[in-house]
Formats: sequence, C-alpha cells, structure tokens
Amino acid sequence: MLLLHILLTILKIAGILLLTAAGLLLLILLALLFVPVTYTVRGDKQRETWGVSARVSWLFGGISATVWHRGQTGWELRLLGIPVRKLMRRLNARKKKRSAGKKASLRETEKKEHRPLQPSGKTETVEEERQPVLKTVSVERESPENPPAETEELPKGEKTESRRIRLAAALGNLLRRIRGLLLWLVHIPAKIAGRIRKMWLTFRNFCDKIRRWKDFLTRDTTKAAAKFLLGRGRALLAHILPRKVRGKVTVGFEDPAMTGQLLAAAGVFYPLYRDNIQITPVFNRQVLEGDFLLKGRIFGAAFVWSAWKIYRNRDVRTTWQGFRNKEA
Amino acid sequence: MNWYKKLYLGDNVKKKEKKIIRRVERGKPVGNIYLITLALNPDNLLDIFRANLLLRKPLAGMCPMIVGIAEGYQEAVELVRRLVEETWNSRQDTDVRGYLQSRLEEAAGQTGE
Repeated sequence: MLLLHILLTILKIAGILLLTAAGLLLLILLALLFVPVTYTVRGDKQRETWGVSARVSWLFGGISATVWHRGQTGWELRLLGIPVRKLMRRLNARKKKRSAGKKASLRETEKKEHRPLQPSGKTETVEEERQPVLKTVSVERESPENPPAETEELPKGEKTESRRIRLAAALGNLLRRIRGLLLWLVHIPAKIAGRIRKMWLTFRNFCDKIRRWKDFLTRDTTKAAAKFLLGRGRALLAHILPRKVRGKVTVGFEDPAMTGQLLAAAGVFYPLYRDNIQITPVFNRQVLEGDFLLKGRIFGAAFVWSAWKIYRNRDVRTTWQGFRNKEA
Repeated sequence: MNWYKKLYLGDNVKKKEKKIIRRVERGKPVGNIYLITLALNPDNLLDIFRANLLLRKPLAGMCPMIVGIAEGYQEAVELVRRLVEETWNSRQDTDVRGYLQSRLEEAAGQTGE
C-alpha cells in the first residue's frame, strides 16, 4: 500500500513536470506564431543633415534591436528593456576587477613571504662541441689505358654496302611516312562526319531539352501552380508591407516645371497615401527636407499558413513531383 | 523645327551644339538640356523648357523658334538674362523678337556685302 502510494506520488510529480514542460513548449510555439514581430523605420532630413533608424521588436518590446545612422552608424540590442552591450560591458568590467584583485592579493602574499618567483631553469650549460666532419672525396680520373684508336679507313666494298644500308633505311622511313600521311588523309572525311554527328546530337539534345521545358511550363497544372504561388506571394507581401505610413516632405527643383511634374505624379498616387504624406512644393529653389515614419507587423502564423496552403495545393505538389522526376 | 541662325549657347553646350540639334530634330532624348524659345504667348518674351518635352510630337509640331540651348535650368536662366541685357543695351527696350530679327538682318547684310 505504501509502495503504491509512493509510486503514485512519483508518477504525479513526473506528470506535473511533463505537463509543465509541454505547457512551456506550447507557450513558446504560440508566441512564435501569434506574437507579432513589429518594425518601425524613421527618417528625417534637414538641410545637410539626415538620419534614419530602424527598430525590430518581438514579445511586445521584450526583445528589440535598433539600428541607426546619423553621421555614424550604431546599433543596440535590448532584452526586457536592458541594453545587452551595457550589460556585457559591466560583466566584463567585473571580471577584470576580480582578476586584478586576485593578482594584487597574490603579489601581497609573495612580498610578505619574501619568495621571489624565479622560473626554474637549468644552471648547467651544455656546450656542444661541434666538430666539423670532413669528408675526403677522392676523385680519380681513369686515364684510358687504351686510347681509342683512330678511325681506320674502311675498304671500298664495305663502304658501298653501308651506303646501301643507309639508303634502304631512309627509303623505308620515307615510305612509312607517306603511308601514314595517306592513312590520315583517308580518315579525314570519317573524322569530319563524326564531328558533325556529335554536334548534331548535342544540338538535338538541346532542342529536346527546350521542348521538354516548354511542355512542362505550358501544362495546365504548372500554370495553375504558378498562379497559386503568385497569389500567395502577393498575400504575404501585403501582410509584410507597413500598416502605417506618415511623412512630411518639402521639395523643390531649380526648374519650377520639374516641381510641377513631380506634384502631378504625386497627385496620381494620392488615393494611396491621402493625407498620410504631406508634400509642400517650393518653386523658386532646390530643396529636399522632411521626415517619414513606417510601421508594420509580421505574424509567424502567416508564413506557416501560407506554407500549409502551398503544401496542400494539388497543382503545386504535382508540379514539384514532375520537376523532381526530371520531366523537364 | 525652327532654329535661330545665331543660336545663344550655354558654356556647357558649345561643344555639343550640332549633336544636340541633331538629336532634338530626330526626336531622341537629350538629358538635362533646356531650350529657350520665343514665347508662345505674344505678351511674353521667352519660354524655357526641357528639350525632352519635344519628344511628344504635338508639342514638337507647335514649338516656336528656338533661340538658345543650355545645360541645366540655371544656365538657361543665365542665357535669358544675357539675351535681354543685350536687347536692352542695343535698343533700350525689351523687344527681344525685334532685336533677334535685326541681328539676322545685320548678319545677312554682312554676308551680302
């Protein structure tokens, strides 16, 4: 009975721990999917100075990174509002203090005990005597005991014989060369034909490949898959684009006609930005000043959902399989 | 297109005059080039506009006589200033059209002689 009770208690504790771990994992997963990553981009320009900054944060500012440029570039990373670089600097400073403190205390103890530190070294020096090793190399020139006899003149009969042999050898050489040349000439058309056939096969393979790609791309399933992917891409882009756009700009060119043309172009896009962007034209000088703000958010779930829809789409699957099976 | 025989040219355009005229005549873009013409409105003196406006055929068809070429708006304004100053110095009035006409007649008279 007692054993059973202990076992059940252990199981209960294990169950609670497992549940806690599962709960934490689920919480993290849900946070990744449904807590948005927000981004803010600000910029401004006044006369010669300009600056821009971008901030990305997650978990409602729990983790945030900021990058800016105003004369010089800088960045900052914060965890729960605490700047990470400052924290690292403090930790490093503490480490240095501790190690400096340790060294100082060591020196003090050494001074007290009058024990100078010396590295243990060898007092005996070993002298190596190097004795040059002489190698005597004796070079003997063998004087020929029998100097080569001078060439004796061959008798006339032997001369003609040797001349005939030489002629025959030369003739044989020449005939062999002529034979080689003739064989080479005879094989030229075959070689050319071979090359042409090879080129033709390469060209035909290339054309076949183009035809296969064309068939693959003009198939109904491929077209449907491409249309679907474009649609999903547009939806994702619309999700990522900033939700809030504000801006004020004072603009002018040296040519007032150019300023007018810019205003005409801006007028065409007015329904998109309405009063969120205020444009102040200047017609008598060149100027560009203003500031802007962009804000947006991105949910992880949007990407997961798009990935799921793409995976479930039959046309996309068929096209992907066709591509993998090298139908194209 | 009607080009004044003794065109006023900006400093940055003197070496490229013929090239610019050829390109404008053929309806090709010419970058940051401004043309100074007699004003369409008879009550005004001169007009300044970008040469690329003449890429549009209807505008090219109704373009008045071109009297000057400049690179950049500032240079075009400077040319206009020079032209009006010359007119004033010569005739003590601002009848630029009359001044330009008299310049042509003088030049024709000289060549005739």
